[in-house]
Amino acid sequence: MKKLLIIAAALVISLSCLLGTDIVIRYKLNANIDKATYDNNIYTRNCSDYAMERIIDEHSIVVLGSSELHSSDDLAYPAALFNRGYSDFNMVMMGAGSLQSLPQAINVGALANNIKNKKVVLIVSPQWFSSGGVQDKAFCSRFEETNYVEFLQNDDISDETKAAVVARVNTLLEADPPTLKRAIKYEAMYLKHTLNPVTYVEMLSYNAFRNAKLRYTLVKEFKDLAPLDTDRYVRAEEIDFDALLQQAEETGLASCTTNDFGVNDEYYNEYVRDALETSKNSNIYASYAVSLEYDDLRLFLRVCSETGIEPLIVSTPLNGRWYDYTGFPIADRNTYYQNIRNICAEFSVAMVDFSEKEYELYFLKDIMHLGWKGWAYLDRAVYSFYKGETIEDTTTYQDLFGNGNVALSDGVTETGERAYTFTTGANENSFNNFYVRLDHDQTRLDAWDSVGHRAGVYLHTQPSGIYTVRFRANGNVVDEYIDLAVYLEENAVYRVNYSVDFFSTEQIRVSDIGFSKVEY
Amino acid sequence: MKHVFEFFKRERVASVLMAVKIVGMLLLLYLYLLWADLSTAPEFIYNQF
Repeated sequence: MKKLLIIAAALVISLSCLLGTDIVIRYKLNANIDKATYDNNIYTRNCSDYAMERIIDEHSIVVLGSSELHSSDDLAYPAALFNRGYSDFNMVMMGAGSLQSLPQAINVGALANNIKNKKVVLIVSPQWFSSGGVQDKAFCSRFEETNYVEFLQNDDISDETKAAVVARVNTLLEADPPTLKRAIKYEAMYLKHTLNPVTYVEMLSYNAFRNAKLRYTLVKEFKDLAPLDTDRYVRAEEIDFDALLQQAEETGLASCTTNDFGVNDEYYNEYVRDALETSKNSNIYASYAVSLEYDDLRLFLRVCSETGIEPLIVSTPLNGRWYDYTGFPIADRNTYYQNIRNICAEFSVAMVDFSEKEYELYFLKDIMHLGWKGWAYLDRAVYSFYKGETIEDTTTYQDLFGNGNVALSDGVTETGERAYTFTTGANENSFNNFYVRLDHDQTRLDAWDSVGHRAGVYLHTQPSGIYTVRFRANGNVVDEYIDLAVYLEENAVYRVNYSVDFFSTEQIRVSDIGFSKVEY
Repeated sequence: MKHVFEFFKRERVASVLMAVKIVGMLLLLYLYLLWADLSTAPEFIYNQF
């Protein structure tokens, strides 16, 4: 009995010490929280409900993304532009390489109640959309368990959506069995409600410990962050985004002196130079057209919808010059971009479509990450989204379609302004698909066998002159087409667009056909 | 020295010492867990290219 009393007393004293320590830790965290607005550490700050609740306010937008968020740029990168948080508007960035739609769906579900203005931005990268989606080892290495628990505890998310996320998570966590074991317990605890009381208490204690551990780690991390520069308070309204873009272009120009891809010298020398020969046409069979990631993106949007979060999807481009060099099919790239547009339309969410900036130099800083101009464009778009204003697109398009330079083959009839019908004759012809082809360099800009809107850009690398752009209904006996004779300038960028309103093997109806010169 | 030994042999003092030992062990264990890397995820090297 006496020993039991001693043990009980020891436990009470220990618990008091722990509680006291935690109070001190929270106090220290609060004292340093202002420095952490741009401390995008996925293993600590982003997992801490305690920290994020204090960091996100009504004047900040949560920006979710992947590796581009780990950037360093003294100009337009948000941490630099908004003076690390000493500003009347901030972006709370959360992301790292391989943090794709699924983990970001979990993050939104976990943080939804902390996002005061109910708006988030998701920067979507094409590289996410390989056929298998996020890799299991990558997912495990970035898995934010604390946020996963918060996600499962969010009552606004339906059981159906939670079950879909849980199924994906459990599959991916097979590469990390101990974590999978806990994930299954969380599922039983919060979704199926079948966990036995002993394990329930065990998991509650474990989570309380995890949160305390996070706070302790954060205290050390925040303490080491540099103090804010309080000599310069940034008012976002006073930022001249046009001047910022001009500066971004100058910085990009000075940073890319060794190649024509618009890749910064440091990256080019480290990764590209030695791989240049082997990379030529190395991607001719690559594709982002079909991927598990599309369904993960839908899950992200479902979580946003159920938690009342308004998302802005940012579709970032590939580096067109580099991907052309590696032979990645333009048609496939355009299919990917259109897939993203279609998913946004499916969920009626806003998007910023940067896909047509594939060939804008310095939009990216290497072959895949946002660069000097990319950040400047993004800053402006996110700030407009925050204010509820229309997001400005400064790209201009010079229309080149029409004016007597269009010729129709047999079987094609003009049914309205920029609207045409392709009809098979009595020769047992049958349409397979519809696409746009540039015969002078054997390039297909797209290829489809279904209805929908298509758009894409193309860099003309041939000498300047008059060329034929063919909008072709591909038949198994004979093709039917619209030929556009147009003067193309060397190294200029052109945009093609059209909508297939009806598709069958006998008839294709197309409208809204356009071909324009693009000026960034 | 004799008084010191006698002091520590007293029942009440021995009880306090035992409690202190338990508290110490628990706090050391807790501190270790706070410091330790508990991740079991497989290593993954993010490809920048």
